[in-house]
Amino acid sequence: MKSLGFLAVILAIQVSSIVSLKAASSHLKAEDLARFQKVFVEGLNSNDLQAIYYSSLNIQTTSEAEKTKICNNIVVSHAESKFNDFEKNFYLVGAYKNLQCTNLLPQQALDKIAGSLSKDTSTAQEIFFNVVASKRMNVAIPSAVSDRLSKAVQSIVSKDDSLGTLGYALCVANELGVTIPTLAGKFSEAATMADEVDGKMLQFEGGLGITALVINCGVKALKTNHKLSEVQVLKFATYFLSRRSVQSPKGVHILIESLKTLSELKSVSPISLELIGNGQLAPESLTVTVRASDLLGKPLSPSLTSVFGKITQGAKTVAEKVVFNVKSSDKTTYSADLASLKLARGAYSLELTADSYKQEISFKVLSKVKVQSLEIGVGDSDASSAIKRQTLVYPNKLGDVLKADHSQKVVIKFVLADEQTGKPITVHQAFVRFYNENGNEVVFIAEADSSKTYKFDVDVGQKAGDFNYNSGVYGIEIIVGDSQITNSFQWTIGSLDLKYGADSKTEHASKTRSKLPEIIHQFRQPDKRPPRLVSDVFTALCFAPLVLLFAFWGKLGISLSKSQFTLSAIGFHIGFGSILALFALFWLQLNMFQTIRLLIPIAVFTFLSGNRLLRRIAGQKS
Amino acid sequence: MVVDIKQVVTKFYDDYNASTSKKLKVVDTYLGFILLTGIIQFVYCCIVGTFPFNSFLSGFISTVSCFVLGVCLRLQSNPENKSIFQGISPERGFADFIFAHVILHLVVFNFIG
Amino acid sequence: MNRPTKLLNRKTAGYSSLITFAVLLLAWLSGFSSRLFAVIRFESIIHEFDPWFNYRATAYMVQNGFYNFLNWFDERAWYPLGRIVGGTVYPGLMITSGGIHWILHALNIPVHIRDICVFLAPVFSGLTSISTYLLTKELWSPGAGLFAASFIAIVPGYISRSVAGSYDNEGIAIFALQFTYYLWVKSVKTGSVFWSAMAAVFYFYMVSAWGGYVFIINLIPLHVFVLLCMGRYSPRLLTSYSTFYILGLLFSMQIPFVGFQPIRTSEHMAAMGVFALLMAVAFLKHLQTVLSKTEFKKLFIAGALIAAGIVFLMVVLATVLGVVAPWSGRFYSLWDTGYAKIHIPIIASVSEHQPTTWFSFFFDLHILVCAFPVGLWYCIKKINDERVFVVLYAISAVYFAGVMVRLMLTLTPVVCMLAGIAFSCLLEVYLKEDNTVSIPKADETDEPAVEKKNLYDKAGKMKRPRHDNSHEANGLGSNLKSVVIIAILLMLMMFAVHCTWVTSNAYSSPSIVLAFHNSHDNSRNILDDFREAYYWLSQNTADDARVMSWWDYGYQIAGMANRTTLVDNNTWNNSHIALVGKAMSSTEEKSYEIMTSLDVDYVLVIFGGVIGYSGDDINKFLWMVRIAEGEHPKDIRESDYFTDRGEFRIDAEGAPALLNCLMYKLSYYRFGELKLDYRGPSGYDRTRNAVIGNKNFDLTYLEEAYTSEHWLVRIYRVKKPHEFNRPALKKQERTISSPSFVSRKTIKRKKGYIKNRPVVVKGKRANKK
Repeated sequence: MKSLGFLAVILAIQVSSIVSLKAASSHLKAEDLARFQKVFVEGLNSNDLQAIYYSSLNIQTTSEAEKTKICNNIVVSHAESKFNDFEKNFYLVGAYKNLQCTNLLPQQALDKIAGSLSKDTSTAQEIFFNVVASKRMNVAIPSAVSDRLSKAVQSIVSKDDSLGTLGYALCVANELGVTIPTLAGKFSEAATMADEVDGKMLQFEGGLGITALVINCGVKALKTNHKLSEVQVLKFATYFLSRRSVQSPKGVHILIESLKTLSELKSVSPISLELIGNGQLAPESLTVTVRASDLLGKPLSPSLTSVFGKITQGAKTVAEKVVFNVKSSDKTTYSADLASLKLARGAYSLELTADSYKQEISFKVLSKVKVQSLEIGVGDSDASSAIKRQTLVYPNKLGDVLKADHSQKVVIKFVLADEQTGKPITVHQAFVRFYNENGNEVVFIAEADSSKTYKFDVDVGQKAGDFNYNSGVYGIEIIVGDSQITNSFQWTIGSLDLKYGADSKTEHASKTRSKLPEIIHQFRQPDKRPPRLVSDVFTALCFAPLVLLFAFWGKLGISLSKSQFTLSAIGFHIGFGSILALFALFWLQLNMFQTIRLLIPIAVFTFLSGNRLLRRIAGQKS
Repeated sequence: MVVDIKQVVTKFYDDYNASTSKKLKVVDTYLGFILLTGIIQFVYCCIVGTFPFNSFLSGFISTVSCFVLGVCLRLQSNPENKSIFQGISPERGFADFIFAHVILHLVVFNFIG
Repeated sequence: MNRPTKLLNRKTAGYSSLITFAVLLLAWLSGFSSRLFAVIRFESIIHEFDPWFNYRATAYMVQNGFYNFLNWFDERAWYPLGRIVGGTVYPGLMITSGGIHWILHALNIPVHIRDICVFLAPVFSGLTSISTYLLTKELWSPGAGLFAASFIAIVPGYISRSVAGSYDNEGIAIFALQFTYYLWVKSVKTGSVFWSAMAAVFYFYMVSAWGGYVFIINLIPLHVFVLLCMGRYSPRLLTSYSTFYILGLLFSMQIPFVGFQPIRTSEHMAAMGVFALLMAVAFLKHLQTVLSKTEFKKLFIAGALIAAGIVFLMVVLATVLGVVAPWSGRFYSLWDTGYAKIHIPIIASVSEHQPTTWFSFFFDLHILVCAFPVGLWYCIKKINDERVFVVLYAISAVYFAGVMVRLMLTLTPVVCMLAGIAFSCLLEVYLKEDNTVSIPKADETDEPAVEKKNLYDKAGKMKRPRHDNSHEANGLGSNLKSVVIIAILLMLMMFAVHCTWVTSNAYSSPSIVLAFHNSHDNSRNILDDFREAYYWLSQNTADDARVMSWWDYGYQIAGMANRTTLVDNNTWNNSHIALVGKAMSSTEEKSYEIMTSLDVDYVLVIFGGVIGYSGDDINKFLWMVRIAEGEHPKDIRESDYFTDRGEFRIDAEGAPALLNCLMYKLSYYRFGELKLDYRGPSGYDRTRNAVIGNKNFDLTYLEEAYTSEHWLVRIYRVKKPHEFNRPALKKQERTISSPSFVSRKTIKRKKGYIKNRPVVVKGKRANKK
């Protein structure tokens, strides 16, 4: 329905005289273009005037109905747009022209455009939009107006040295086809002052929009006078390529526009040299393939005369001048067969030279690993007896379940070898994993000794904590992995029945993240009280002597008859009795202060009466 | 030996009966009562233990102090000791005895819990 | 007796009681007023350290009632442990002042509890002098009693503990001590149950007031024991001691802090042993009176067998009950003076626990220290039951005072009593004929006037035959007599002057507020830095902020700033104090770990380098190190803080451990920029007379929060973990060293190994089946 609407226009690239020019490491690929297409289609159908404009610049719609719909849409969007007048007028007119609409445009906007060039404007941006809109409307720009505008731009640029202003000024110059004298200097100055990222990219502050504006219009307006060096061009190109993920129609448009502009540069246009594939060469097909293209992914023209590379591993040069031949079916693809070099497993780097361009590419040569031998056994951890070992061949599994308790250890020994050479090798990752059906797993690292034999033993008792003291059947698995082998594998070799004593099985729950138990103040536990009967018996026993006392006193002949019933005697006895009663109360319910408060008057009374009583008794005696 | 002791004890008992005044006998009976109570408490603590220690202590000390105070009363009211305790008549001794008991048992009840 | 002599007797008795009353009143007044120096010079505030706690506890009790006070758990002290105040305090002091407060308010006299606390000790000093009078009267004569009462009223050894504002246990305890002794002597003399019961009641008061009650409960049994050994047993002794002991035992157990100690610890065992012994002796004596000699012998054998059986049973019982506890450390340090220094540095670190110097004996007692042996000699020469007591009292008190400066306090009353006896005897000899000696000129100071009255009083008592016949023969020339009398009077006057001077200069500083004389304009300046800083704390920090300081200042922070402290003057938990000591003596980084683990918000240090205050934390620092070393010998070593030559120096030659420890940094932070003199170097420490060795440093984990006007108190805030930049690591230290992996591979053993923690243990996956 819709077809890609932009045309690649690269025809000739002159081979630069500078030899060691680096090539870009990527270009616009088919998947990028597909994504851009999607962005434009979405933009065309959106209600955003700007998006419609930039989309319509790049793609066309074939269906008439759709076109009419969009044409109506732009008028509505124009009315609702929040852009400045000049800007939305520009988008309206631009989209109208691109879509070749036939419906009527609002007269007001057309009037504005018609009158825009005659009035004075303060920003370069406004001038640019007005000029372009006028051009779209086929309004002729007389040279007087053109002069006036270029003067105005010049004065704006001299006042305002922001990059945006410079960019729009360059665009105006480009559109008017005039040369504004100060701009060339300002442009190269700006280019030298661009921000450098990682030493690879150059960009202007403000991101893709500003960078694209300045570079695009600058190169176009100044033509050969742009004074950008090859390195600068490459770095800007790298920057644009790094922004391939841009999502808005405007961004995509200016990205494509900029890359196109840079590709079209006669003298300094960069090319892209890129490895095809992931750089991992399987031992069966040791062919390195690279793609040489321009930034937009088009074949170079004229095509490269010679492509060759130098292969190194570390500091060691493996091969010089490996010749890459162009593939007959695809002019951008060059390949070299490395089978004759007999490269061993490992990482290599390829220094590619294509005419005057150079590129560094790294690739890996993979190999296949095999298990040469594997022994497994269970023995006493104090090595008192020889360990009975069983050998096992990949990918078999042990028939019987191994048994081990806490005084024993499990020993595994295996050798890994390169399948082709048969030599023992070590791999980046070699693990032994124990797992049980509850989902608990313990992974140990197996390490190789100097003879590249993996010897691994686990002392069951010592590592009990890792197993959480859980007895049971564990599966044993060997995991071998390396980025330089093609067949990393995971091999279940058998199962192991671990036995831990019941006493050592404790809960080792982690307490670090959970709430600690609250500390509750604990009073001392009271001792056990004697049974009720015993204490009752003894209570009675304690009262028994009291009975005895009265019995003896009776026997001795104490009688109350002898005591006198005087006032003081009665007072004394009452007072003494009430003190005893008070004490009983104190024991049962009162506190010390209340007791003392009551005791004092009673005591005084008792003292006085007792004093009198005793004095009388003493008096009677004498 | 045993006969001797028996003889001594009998003589002691006779002497006591003959020469001790009735008042002192009353006090002696009281002392005997206290002693008996104390022994029962002691047996209790040996058998059962002293768990509410303050209660046991207050009971036991109360017994001991009653005994001690009784002894004091006996000493002070013994006519033989009249020269030693000048200015303390038996009645004064009895008043002191009552006073000491009052403050003693105030504390005992506080301590017993 | 016929009428006229009776009348005469009554007349002299009337005079003598008037004189006695007047003398005691004057003694009380002069004692009271000489204790007011601090209040007049500064203001009515609580002094020093412990009184602040007592005051805080009293205020709490007045506010919340006695029973709440007994159950008070103070979570603001000993953070994070807290302190059970009710069970770890002698409540007598609080009850006394609380009671006074209650009575005054019941009478509608609105007095603030603080004023009661401030003036409690001076008021009780008057009671002390009365009880001293009574005791001396019982021991010797009323004249000697008046001397003793006058002495005790002004003697510096007692004033040191009882100036106004010094609201401490000792203030009331000395009164209780003296009065208990008086009642005891009285009960021994009469054999009355009443007096010994009263003695037990006052003993209870003493127990509730001061830990020094142990002195009573050992001295009285010692008295009884010595009397028994001297063959001076009498039924009076039995009645008094047995009543006193059994009641005292029961009473003393009512104080929660004392608890069951009286029957559990060896400090109290002597009293129990003497009680048993006395009972046994009494029983035997009784049998002796009842039975004839031969019978007694027979019975004695049987009795001995039974006694042996009983003793055996008692031993068994003691083992069953879990044996008596051994001597406590503090008590042990009384016997072996070197013990504390080695085993309990926290006790040795307190200056008042140091052995007493000769100088301080004279300083505190002046002439009395010379008269005291004379009185002792008189007592020994004319020994009787109660004088045995005073002799024992004197000897033991001298010993204890020699061991610890603090126990000078127990010596002072007995010295006053014996010196009173000595002076009284001396004047008896020289005033004998001058029965009608006229009162010297009235323009003397208050104190000699008191003594004069004593003389007059003495004359009245001359008629006692006992005194008369011994000196009848020694005729002395009247000139000699008057020379001696004037010499004695001069000495007593000098004593009074000395007492006043010592009181005003040495013992009347509240140590909360410092005063110094400005030599330029002779004015007196007040340094109120402590209160300024504590007030700052109370106003500018969160209510639950935790302040770390050395334990000396714990009570003050709690009392004045009302903030949570980590350690305080109630040094019950040595390891907690050691932890604070460790924090103070470690580097900033290490102590930050300790401080965060203890939740410290602020750190308070006392720094005297600016004004030359010698009682600051740097001078106490070695004790912090020692105490910390006692608990953490691996991390802190005292020798690290000395230079190679064994000196404790804070200047550039000081030990690096000292120059980098937290206490040093907190004390001298920004001090290096300070120039005290125009000519002197910057960072010159006036207390230690040296330029500090570590001047330009910054604090990483703390920031200065407040420094008082004279830099005396410096408060730092401990930063929270997110508030500071961790100090930069040097590049080579940035790698994380692999957790101590040692390859055990040898040529023989080349087997594989499992790395230290090579395990990727995944969490349990619930739904994997």
